[in-house]
Amino acid sequence: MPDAQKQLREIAKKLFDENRITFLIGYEQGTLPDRSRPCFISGADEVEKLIWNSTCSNNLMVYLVDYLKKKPARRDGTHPKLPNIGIVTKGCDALSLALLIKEHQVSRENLVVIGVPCMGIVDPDTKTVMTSCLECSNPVPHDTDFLINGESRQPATERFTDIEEFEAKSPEERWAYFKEQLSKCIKCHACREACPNCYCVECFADETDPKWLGAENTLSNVMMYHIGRMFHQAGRCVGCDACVRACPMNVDLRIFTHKLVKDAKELFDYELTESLEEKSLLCTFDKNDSDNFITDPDNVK
Amino acid sequence: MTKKKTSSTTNAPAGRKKEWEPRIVAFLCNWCSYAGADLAGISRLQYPPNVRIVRVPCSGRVNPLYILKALMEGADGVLVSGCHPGDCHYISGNYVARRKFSMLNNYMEYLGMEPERTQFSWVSAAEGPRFAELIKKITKDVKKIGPNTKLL
Repeated sequence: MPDAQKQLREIAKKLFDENRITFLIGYEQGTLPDRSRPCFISGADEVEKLIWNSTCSNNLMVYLVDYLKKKPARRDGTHPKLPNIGIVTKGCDALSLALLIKEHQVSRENLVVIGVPCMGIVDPDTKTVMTSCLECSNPVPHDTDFLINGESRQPATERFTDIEEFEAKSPEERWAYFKEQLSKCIKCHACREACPNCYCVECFADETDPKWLGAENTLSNVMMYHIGRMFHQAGRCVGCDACVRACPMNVDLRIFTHKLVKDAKELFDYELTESLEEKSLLCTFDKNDSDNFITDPDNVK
Repeated sequence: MTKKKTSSTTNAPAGRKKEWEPRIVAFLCNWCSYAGADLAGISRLQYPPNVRIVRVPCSGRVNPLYILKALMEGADGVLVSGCHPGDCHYISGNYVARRKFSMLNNYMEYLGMEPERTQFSWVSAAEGPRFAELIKKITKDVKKIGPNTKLL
C-alpha cells in the first residue's frame, strides 16, 4: 500500500510541475487514526499530504460535482473556463464519475483522473472490510489518465445476499424493520450531502412549492424523504455506501438503496458501468419490458 | 389539518356507524384513461364513488413522489393509468412510465407496503366498461387490506 501512495504522490507532483492541473482532490490523514478525510491540494509542495490506503472511504466525486455546480453554464449555453482538476478515483468513484458525465454534470476534458486499484475500505470501528466493498463489482477504475499499479480485490461473485435475505421476510417484518431504522433518522440530510448522485440544485425535500414534506421530524416526513431520495437512485446508485458511512445515526440505508440496484439488474438486466454510451435506466425503455405488475380488470387472477 | 381523520369513521352521525370507505386517488392520462373514465360516465356505468381522479397529460408525467405524497396525505389507494403500450399520445411516455413504475412497485413491496395499495393499469379511450371494472376491482382490493396507516 505505501508503494501505491508513493506512486500517487509522484504523479501528483508531476502534474503540478507540468502545470497540468490547478488543484487536486484526494485523501489526507484524518485527526483520528484509521480515518482519512478529503483534501484539496493546490501546489506541488503539498503533495506529501496525500495518502492512499484502506481508510480512504469518501466518494470524492461529491466534491467535484459540488464545485462544478457553482460554475453553471452561461445564458448562451457556453461554459465559463473551468480549471483542470486532478482527482483520485477508486472503482466506485469511477462509476459515479461516468454517471455524472452521462448526466452532463461533469466534463471529462477538464479532469485528470488518477485511478487507484482498491482492496476494499476497512470500517474504522469494526476493522473489517465494508459490505459495499465485499460486494464490489468494479474494484479497478477503467477510464483513467493514470492508473497506479497495485493489488486490487477480485470483483465480487456473490452479490445481494443481504437483500435476498431481507426479501424472504414477511411484509410485516420488512415494514417493521424499515420503520425501526427510519425512526432513528434525525433528518440531517448527511446521506444526501455525501452522495455524488444527489446534486439537484434544489432537493425535493427542500422545496416549498410544491411542499413535498414538512419540516417537523415525524416518521411520515422521514419516510417520504427517504423513499423519495432512494427512489431517485433507481438505476443510478453505484453502491459506494457513502450515505451509509455518512449517517450519524447508523440507519441501515444500504439494504433499502441496494435493492434498486438488484431490481435494475433483475428486471431490466441493467447494470451501471463506466461505459458512457449506455443510457440511464429510467431515461430509456424497451417495448418488451414486462407488463406483469399491471392490473388487468378483465383478467383477474 | 384533516390528515389524521381521513380513514376513520369520526364523521359518521351519532348512533349510526358508517362503514369505512376507502379514498383512492387515480392519476389518469388525458388522452386515454381520462377519456375512458368519461366514457364510463356517459355510458351510465356504475362504479364505486371512492375514486378521486386527477388528470395528468401522460402517465409518464406522474412523478413517483405524487404517489408517495397521496399516500402520505391519507389516500388509501393510488391508481395510475395511461394509454395501452404503443398507443401513447406522446409516442413513448407510457413505456418510460412502465419502467419507472415497475421499479417503484417492486420497491414499495420490498419495503413492506401492500402491493394492492398502488396499482397501475392501461385503459384506452374506448374502454369505458374496463374502467368501471378497474375501479370496482381496486376498491375491492383496497377495502380488503383496510385503511392506509403506514405512510401517514
